[in-house]
Amino acid sequence: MTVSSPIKRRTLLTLAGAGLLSGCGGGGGGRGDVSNAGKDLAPWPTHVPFPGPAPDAPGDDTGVQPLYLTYPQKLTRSVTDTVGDGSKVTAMVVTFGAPPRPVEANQLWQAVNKALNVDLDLIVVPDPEYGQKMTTLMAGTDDLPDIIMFTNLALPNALEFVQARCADLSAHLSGDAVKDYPNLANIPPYAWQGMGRVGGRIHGVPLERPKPANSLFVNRTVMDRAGIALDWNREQYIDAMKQLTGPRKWGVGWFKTLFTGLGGITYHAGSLGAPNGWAETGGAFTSTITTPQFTEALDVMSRLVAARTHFPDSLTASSTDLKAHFHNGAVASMNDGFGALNLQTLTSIGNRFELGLGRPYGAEPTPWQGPGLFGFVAFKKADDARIKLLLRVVNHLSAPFGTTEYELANYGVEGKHFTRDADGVKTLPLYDTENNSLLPIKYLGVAPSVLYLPGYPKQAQAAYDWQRAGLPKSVANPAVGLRSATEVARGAQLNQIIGDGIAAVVFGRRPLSSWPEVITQWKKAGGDRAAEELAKEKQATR
Amino acid sequence: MTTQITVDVAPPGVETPPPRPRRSRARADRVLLLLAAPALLYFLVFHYGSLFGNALAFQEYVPFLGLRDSEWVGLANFQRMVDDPGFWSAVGNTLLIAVLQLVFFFPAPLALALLLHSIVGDVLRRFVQSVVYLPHFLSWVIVIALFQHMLGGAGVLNGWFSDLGIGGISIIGNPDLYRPLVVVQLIWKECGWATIIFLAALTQVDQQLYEASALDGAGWGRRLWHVTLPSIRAVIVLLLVLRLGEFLSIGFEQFFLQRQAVGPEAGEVLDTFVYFTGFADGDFGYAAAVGLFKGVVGVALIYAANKIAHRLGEQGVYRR
Repeated sequence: MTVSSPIKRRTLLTLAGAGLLSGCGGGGGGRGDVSNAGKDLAPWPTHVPFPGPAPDAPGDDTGVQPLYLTYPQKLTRSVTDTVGDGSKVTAMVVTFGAPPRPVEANQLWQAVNKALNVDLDLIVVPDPEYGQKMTTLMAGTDDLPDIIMFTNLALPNALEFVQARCADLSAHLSGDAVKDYPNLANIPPYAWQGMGRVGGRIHGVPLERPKPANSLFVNRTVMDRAGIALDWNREQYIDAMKQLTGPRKWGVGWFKTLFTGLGGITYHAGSLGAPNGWAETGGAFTSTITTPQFTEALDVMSRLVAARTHFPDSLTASSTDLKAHFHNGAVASMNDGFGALNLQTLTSIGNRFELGLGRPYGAEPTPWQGPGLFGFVAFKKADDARIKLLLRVVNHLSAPFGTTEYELANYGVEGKHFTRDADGVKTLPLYDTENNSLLPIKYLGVAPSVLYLPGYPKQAQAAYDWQRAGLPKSVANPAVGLRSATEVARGAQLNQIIGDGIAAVVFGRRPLSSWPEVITQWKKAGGDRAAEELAKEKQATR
Repeated sequence: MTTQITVDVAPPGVETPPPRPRRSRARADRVLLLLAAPALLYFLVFHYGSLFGNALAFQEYVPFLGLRDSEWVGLANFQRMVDDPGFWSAVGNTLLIAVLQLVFFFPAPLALALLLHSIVGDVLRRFVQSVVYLPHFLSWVIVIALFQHMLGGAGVLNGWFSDLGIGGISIIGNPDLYRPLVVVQLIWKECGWATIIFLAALTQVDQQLYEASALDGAGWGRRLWHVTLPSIRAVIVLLLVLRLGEFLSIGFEQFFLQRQAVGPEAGEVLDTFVYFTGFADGDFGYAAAVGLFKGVVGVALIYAANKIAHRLGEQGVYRR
């Protein structure tokens, strides 16, 4: 092969990629290639909302979810044509539970295979090994599974991998093309934007999540008993935590991985008005960690520790351990992802107490929004017909609440996994061993979420009220969906610096006055460069 | 084998016959060579082969591009290492913990071996031995969880304190106590297992020497000092040299699992540093540079320790 111009590294890889690639839009070399700056941007898919069953209380544009206190009486069908062709579809997907029963003994799996008309072969990767496994998969040259699921975990070189070895879906999804897949057209724009483009192209389908970011879950029952009001200010909040602390009882519950980034401080920073991740003013990006509000949040957290209101093993406990302490009443509040408001959590708490959500305590809060998605799925490169089949699979699994497809994906088969009564869906014992967490199909495609907690209408109503109170003031992270090569390459390290720094100040290993040192360290490690890249990227996508 | 005998009995002054051609030597030793082959292959593939990976240290390595296409950056990674306070803090922690391990962990199994050796009842000794070996087979995850449950802020000990109305004490997650804690954990887990070699050495001590010294009126202490320890000196020195060679390899899992509880200032050691820069941050080139640094220091240490052993008249790990 004769090449007249000097080959750039990325181009060389492209050529080496066994002819898989058809050029990357003539992009530059190296790591910056996944950025959207200077690229033609594929338009986002047109949003065609699904006219679902009427909710008991409507959702809105701020991200408040539609509330359903009861299960819809009549379900509709969202998929009418056949999905698969009986072929085998392999998928690599994360799991947070035990491995699923083999398909021969798994009635849910069989039912899903039948509905999709494919032979779904899942490679389930336990959450703790996920990063490592993905790094290996991406570094290797092995054949890829048809569907590869990416979580929001910052994996080095993930976007380069997606760009080089996964299918470009723009032709199938961009603009009105998405209407061929009505359930994908129903995915709200913020989820697509949260996923972001890679080199200007659409390379995946997002797994939507509701807007609230890491939130404060509270034991409403003990708080009511102690006379603690729903709304509180800073001092009232700290006093409440002191009040709930006693022999083998703690007000504040944190766990280890909250301190690998901003997770632990999210509720406090949002309460006190710190920007969500980044502040963007006039095209320039400043990190939230440099703001005075952020320092105030650190101060509140260190006061909680100084007053010994926190679970003493917060830096060593796993999230599972801490959940156990929260669910059995030893810890009165805990920070967790909003997704923890689910049936499994409520079942685990049982009737020990009523689960609630803590409202922000600051005078001018800016509750942080999450990125709007849990992750996304990408497909191995293949011919158009195969890609269309895979999109139909994901379309089926993304069917919205109120459809028969949703019911199958979320509750299983009626009479086997669940029954229906006046309250709505009641799960059966088989559901405990066969559900969409253990058979993690919900990470291949998922419906935009609604607030429906079968059997717990009161909690659903409380969460709805909480969303109505907080979300209108909530702010998005202006960097979500923007590409910064430095964040991709050094994101884990940057987060580590922040997490370690927060832990050091909060747990009294360093004085609050030393926080500027952490900022300097972060800036030097790539924070400043990331800010510049985000600004450039912002300008390009505007 | 007649050939060997002729060589062995060659009278002094007679010149040794010229070395036999290689091929026939190989034929003569073919069984031994065959026996050595798997081990040799193992070393070639997994040790010498992977040595080439050290090239990463001189690259801005991107797993995608591989060794061939990644950019060569010369000594930039080492330059960065020298300028990186995080690296030096990891070196400092590693050295401190290594010294503590050497001072407290190295003699512990020797003391325990002497104690075990002095137990007369065979059944009792075997029982005690089995008990002290057991922790070796627990993974660090379990050992650390055990320590957590006993000494943690919400653990058993603090539970008692809280029942008695005394304020809790912070042991786990207290950076000041971290270094002693990790050494205690190591002793708890590995001390019993490490006695094996010492026990084997102790059985080699000439019993007559004990009798003789006892007849001369030497007490327990003098017998230990003048008979036992000198008799096993070679083994002690050998183990010490080996230990020095791995001086900077103080362990990974134990520190990885507890690093966050005390923060990087006290908890980051070289191995976790390499892990975080290499695997978490994908900064393979830099991580390889730090790993290489550790390897070179290890080689230097083992060489120096061996030299000292030779000075002391011991064999060390290899002969001069």
